[in-house]
Amino acid sequence: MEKVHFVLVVDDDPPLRAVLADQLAHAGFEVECASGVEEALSRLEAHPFDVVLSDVRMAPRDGFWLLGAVRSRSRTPVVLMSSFASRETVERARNEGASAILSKPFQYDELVHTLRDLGDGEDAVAATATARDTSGASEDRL
Amino acid sequence: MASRAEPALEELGEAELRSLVRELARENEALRQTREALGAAYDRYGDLYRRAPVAYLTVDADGAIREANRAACHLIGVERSALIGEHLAAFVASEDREKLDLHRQQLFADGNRSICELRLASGGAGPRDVRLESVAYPTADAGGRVCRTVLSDLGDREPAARPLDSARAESGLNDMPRKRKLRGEIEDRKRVEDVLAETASRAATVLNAIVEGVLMIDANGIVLTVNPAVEEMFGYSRDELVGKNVNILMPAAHREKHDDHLAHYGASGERTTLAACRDVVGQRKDGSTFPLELAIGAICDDSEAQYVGILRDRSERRQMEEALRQQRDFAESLIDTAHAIVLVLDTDGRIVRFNSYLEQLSGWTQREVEGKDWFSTFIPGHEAERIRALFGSALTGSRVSGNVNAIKTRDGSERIVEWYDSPLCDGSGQMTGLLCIGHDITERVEAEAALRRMSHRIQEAERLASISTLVAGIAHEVGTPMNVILGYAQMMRASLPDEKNRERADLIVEQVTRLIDLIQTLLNIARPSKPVRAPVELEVVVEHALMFFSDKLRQRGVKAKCEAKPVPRILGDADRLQQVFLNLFSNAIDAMPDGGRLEIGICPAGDGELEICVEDSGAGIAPAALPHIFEPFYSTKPRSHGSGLGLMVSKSIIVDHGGSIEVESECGSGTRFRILLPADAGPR
Repeated sequence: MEKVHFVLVVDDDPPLRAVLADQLAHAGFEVECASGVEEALSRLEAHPFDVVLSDVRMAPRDGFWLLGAVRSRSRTPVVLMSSFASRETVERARNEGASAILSKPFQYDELVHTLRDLGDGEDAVAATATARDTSGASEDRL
Repeated sequence: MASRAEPALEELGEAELRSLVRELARENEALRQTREALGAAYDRYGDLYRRAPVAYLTVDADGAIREANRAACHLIGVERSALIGEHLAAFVASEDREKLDLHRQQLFADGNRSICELRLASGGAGPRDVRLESVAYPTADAGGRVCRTVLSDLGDREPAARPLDSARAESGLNDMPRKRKLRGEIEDRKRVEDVLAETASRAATVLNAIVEGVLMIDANGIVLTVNPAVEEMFGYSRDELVGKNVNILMPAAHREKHDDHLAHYGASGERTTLAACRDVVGQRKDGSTFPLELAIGAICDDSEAQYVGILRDRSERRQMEEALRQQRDFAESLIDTAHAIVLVLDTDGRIVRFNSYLEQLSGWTQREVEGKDWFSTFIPGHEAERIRALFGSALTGSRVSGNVNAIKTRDGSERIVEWYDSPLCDGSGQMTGLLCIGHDITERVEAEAALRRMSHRIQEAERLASISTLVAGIAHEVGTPMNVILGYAQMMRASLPDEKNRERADLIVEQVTRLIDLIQTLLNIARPSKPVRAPVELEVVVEHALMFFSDKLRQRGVKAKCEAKPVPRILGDADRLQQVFLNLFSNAIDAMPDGGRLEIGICPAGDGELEICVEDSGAGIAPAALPHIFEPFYSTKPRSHGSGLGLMVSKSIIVDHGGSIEVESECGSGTRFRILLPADAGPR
């Protein structure tokens, strides 16, 4: 896979959209933001992105719905974000084709590494989708 | 009683026995009344016998006269004393003696009734034609038989028959109407005689049949007659008694007194009164004595007084006493086999008696503690005052029912007993003590406690579940804002020029990270997700946890030891259980900065449970803190050292495994955690 450069951030929370956009820009990515699933899809139709970074919990359509939609029409990687992601959410994301899942709150380094790893051609799902698990042992790479 | 449905245990004992005694007393009274009636009947019949215008004789199989009434004496024309013992044949005309023999032989041969007519020899009364009607009876002496004979004077038939005969001779005609009238008179008379004979024989039958001894004496104490019961009672035959002084039936010491009695009795004039029963001593032929009850009746006579004694062998009363004793034994055996405590205390609370059930339960025999104070012997100190007060109120009449208290056994253990008391009273209604029936409900109480523990665990689990829901909800909401704070803090830090502000930004990042850890810990409680249930060897789990701290233990100089008895494996999540021990060991090590002991014990705890004890010799937990240590965010450590969630998490893991955790601690000497886990804890 080519180097990740264009990132579409999808989140219905404006402050988070703002901090993500700032952090990604600071790290050298090009960022567009969408406040929901519909907007994200129309942006994706307008031009291609290297990765979609989407929150899970949104209304009326959520991140998993978007994941399904993207998977059905392109190979664009999707990274999901979930507040204190549970083991179940991590597994579901993996099963439905997400490249990685980030458990909010995550640190700058986690974010940047996760996206860069996608570009390094790693099998992102297997390598990164280890959420902070319930045992509390923090071997996360996220 | 034996055939009755099994009596309730509470009804047993004194009350039951009392009712038995009353029943026996009633039977006794009925017997006494019967005896009186019999006595009266005897008097009536005896009097009739003696005074009847019909002559009665009693003759034995050899033909000797054993008894004769007045009419018989008169008819034969001889004094009674001259008759008794003589052969009847001596008073019969020589030509008729053969007839008499035949009569007697017939009677004793076919044994029923025989009638004959014969002439008496010339005595004081001159020759007389008489009719003998005899009935044979057996006597008490083996094989002996006597006959009772009614003698009817045929002489007064003669004057009527003679003119008839002469008229018949003169006229040669039969004077039919007159003859018929005469015959009618004769038949009437015969009927009266028959009735009288029947009456007398019935009286004799009664006398022979009754179990009471009946004895008749004259004013001088000479025995006139006795019934078979007397023969049996004293071992004398009738012949040995009749004609003797009655005082041979009493011990020598009583004889003189009896003679005085008799003299006084004769003089007092209360001759017809039936004397009250009194207890006297009888002497048998073999010299042995026995208690008997005597009632005396005097019969007034024209010439001399006669007395009838009704004797009752008191050994029969003894039979009743025996029956009573048997009933008591039966009741005793019920009391002793009852699966309940039966205890009798006197009014001072001293032990009068208790059954073998309590002996087994308490380890004390009745003999060892009889007469001792119940409360100081059996009631544990903390209960003694309350129970003594209850005892006091039971004595004042308020019924104690269902009171529960512990009793201490010989080996110092305690049993929990539920009591039902009822007062014991003597005949006058005076309270003499307390009958206490107790059921050992120790097992029941323990089962109830286990049930309470179980329901407490369920409540705990439910409480944790509701906390979990709340925590999960909060986590969802705070994740995003914290992400914003964290992100900008990190960005700002990178752009800040001076060191001081960079440190401040670092502090923000650090504190948010701390919050993240906290929430993650809470979520670990909140979201056990899919529970892992695999066979777990607790000893291995404990050893791994100890290994984790091996460096720290060595640095602090803490000696750790794990003693595991053979226990079954449990079904559980080894990682989470290990987290429990990591938490407990970490706390223990923190409590022993200057070294000490950390001891872990694993053993079976009954009811399919395992017990794990974790004991340290550390600083201990203050009593005020003790009730709160499992609460979330409660910590005695510096804020930076602990989240205050370790024990809460530990507890939630144990509860999640269907177990429980308790703590005991003493300031300065250490803390002891006691974990109970079901050996077969399945998925919950």
